[in-house]
Amino acid sequence: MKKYRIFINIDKEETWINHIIAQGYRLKRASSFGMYEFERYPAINRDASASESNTDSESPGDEKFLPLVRMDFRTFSKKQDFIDYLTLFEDAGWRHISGSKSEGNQYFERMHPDCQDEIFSDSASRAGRYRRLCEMWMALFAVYLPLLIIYLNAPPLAISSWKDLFYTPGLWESSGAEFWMAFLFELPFALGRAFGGLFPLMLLVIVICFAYFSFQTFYWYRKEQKR
Amino acid sequence: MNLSSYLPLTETTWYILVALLEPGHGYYIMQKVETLSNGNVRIAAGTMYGAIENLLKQKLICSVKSEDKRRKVYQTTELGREVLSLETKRLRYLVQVAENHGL
Repeated sequence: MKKYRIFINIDKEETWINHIIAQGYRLKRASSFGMYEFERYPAINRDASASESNTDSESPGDEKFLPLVRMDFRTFSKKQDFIDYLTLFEDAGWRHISGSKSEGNQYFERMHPDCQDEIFSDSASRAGRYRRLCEMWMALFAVYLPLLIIYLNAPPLAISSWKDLFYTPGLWESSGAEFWMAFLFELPFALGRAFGGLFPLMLLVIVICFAYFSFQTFYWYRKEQKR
Repeated sequence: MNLSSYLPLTETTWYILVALLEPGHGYYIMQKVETLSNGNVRIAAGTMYGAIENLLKQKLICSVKSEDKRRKVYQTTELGREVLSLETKRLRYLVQVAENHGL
C-alpha cells in the first residue's frame, strides 16, 4: 500500500506512520519526497491467524507486537560515521528502514518486543532533531537568498499588458490567417518571456517558505527543550 | 582550562564517563550504564549517539583503535578522568553535608 504525504513536523509524521502501523501494517520504506510504502503485518495470512488467536487469546506468542517507527534527523559527512550510527541502533534493536548518509530523515523500526520503544531518553536529545532540521532550512535559505537578490535586481520585464509579450510589429493590427500565423509562431516565445518573468516570483515564494520553515522548526526546538 | 566549568555533570554523562574507563562501543555503554545504575538509567540509542558526539567535542572521551569495522570504540580521556574525580569529590561532599544534618 502506497501513501503520499508531506510533513515538516517530525512528531506529526511519526504519529501518522504509527497510526497506520496500529491498523496492522509495517512501514516498508519511506522516501524524502513524501512517498510511504506499507505492507501487511504479520505478512502471512493475517486473517487466519487473527481468527485463531481469538479462540485462545491468552497464548503469549500471540501477544500484540507493533513494529513501531521512530525518526531521527541527522546527516553525516563520513560514511564510517553513518555505519557506526546505524550499527548502534541495530545493536539496540532498531532496524534502519529508510534514510541515507546525507538525506537527513532516518526511519527506524522496532525489531522485537523487549527493546525500548523510544530512541530518545531525554528531552534535550529529542529536541536536537529540530535543531538539526532548523540548521538545514537556514542553510537552504542562505543559499537561495542571494539568488533571489540577483534576480530581483535584474531589469524587470517592461510590459503594461499581456499583449506586450508579443514583439512582432503590427501583430495586433493584422487579422485573419496572417494574424494567426504570426501569433502561433510567436506564442512559445511569448510564454517563455512570461514564465521568465515568473522565475523571480517563484524564487521569492521558495525563500519565504525556507524562512518560515526555519522559524517554525526553531520554535519546535525551543518547545521540546522546555519539556 | 578551568575543570569546574564542566560541573555539575548530568547523571547520564557521569555514568557514561565511568562506563568508558574501560574502552567500549555505543551499545556496550548503554548496557554498562544500565547495569551500573541498577536499571535506573536507560539511555536510548538516539540519545546515546548524541551524547557520544558531545563528549567527543568536549574531549572528555576519545575514539580508540578497534578491530570492529562497524562499531567505533571510545574511552574516557585523561581530562575526562580528572573531571570525573572532581565531580566525585563534589558529590561526596554533598553526601557528607546531608549526613551531618541527620539525613
